[in-house]
Amino acid sequence: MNKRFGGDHYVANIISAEILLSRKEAANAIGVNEKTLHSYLDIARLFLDRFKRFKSPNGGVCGSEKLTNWDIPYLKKIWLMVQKHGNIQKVAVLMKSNPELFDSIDIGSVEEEFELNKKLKIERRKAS
Amino acid sequence: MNIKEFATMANCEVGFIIDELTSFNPAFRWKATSEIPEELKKDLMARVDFYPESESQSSEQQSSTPRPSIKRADPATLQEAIAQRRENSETIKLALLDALNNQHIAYIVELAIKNALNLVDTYDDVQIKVLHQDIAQRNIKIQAQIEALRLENQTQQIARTNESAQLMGKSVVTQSESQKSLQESMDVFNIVMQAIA
Repeated sequence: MNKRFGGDHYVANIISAEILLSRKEAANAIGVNEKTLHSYLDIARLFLDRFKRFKSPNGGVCGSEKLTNWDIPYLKKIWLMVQKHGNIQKVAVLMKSNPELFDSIDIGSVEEEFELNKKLKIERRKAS
Repeated sequence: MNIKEFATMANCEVGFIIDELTSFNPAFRWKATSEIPEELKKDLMARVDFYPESESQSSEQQSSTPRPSIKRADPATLQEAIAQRRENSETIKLALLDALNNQHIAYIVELAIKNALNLVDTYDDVQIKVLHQDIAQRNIKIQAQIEALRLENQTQQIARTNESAQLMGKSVVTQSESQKSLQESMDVFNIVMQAIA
């Protein structure tokens, strides 16, 4: 039993890292619908190296390319930025000028911020 | 000239032109009927030339004006690269399984990074494209193997726990036996002492 790292189960979770996700699964992980996820991918593929594989030679998002669980934190970061700036086009402009803001992220802090923002959004919705 | 006309002229898809223009200027929402600014036209032409997809569509143009294309590896080299990659991957996988067995997290992470870097550094775009599916399949297999190994690890641990429990039991028995023999010797000693008295 590896107590230092939270047990064998945790170790296995780290190792079985790359899991292919369908668009629906990925959208559920971020808490948005598939159309919104598509729009995130649409801007991410143009400016972020991680998502360049979604670039199709005929334009648009490459449909056959799969998302993995490793992409989720980066998409969550985009979601957070959209919430902050209120518009996906503004985020696209920001992404073009500062791609490192989206590319090199601290996954732990992004997850925390994401959870917090999701909770706040739900509370706001309930209040209204 | 609007995007649609430009796409017809360059023999490529409207979507491709829109993508390129969006990457130049994301603040503007580009449509097929949008006019292409003069200052972007030159950059756009360079991009269209760069992509070999537009070449394949315009075979006539290709024969008349040779265009720069991405260097493609010949099949033999590609096969060799795939074999090499497979070998590397196999070595890394074995090391990864070994590390998993010994539960060295830092080493596991290092190996995973090495694996990713190996892919990025060694091969060009074309090879990566070919290898991508292969790797995805292999990942699934490796995951299954890791899961099997984890289960095996668990059973081994259970076996080890049982073994240690048995050993503990044995030591308890031995202790009670030694106590018993001590008691017997004490009894003999007492009898002897009584006899002396």
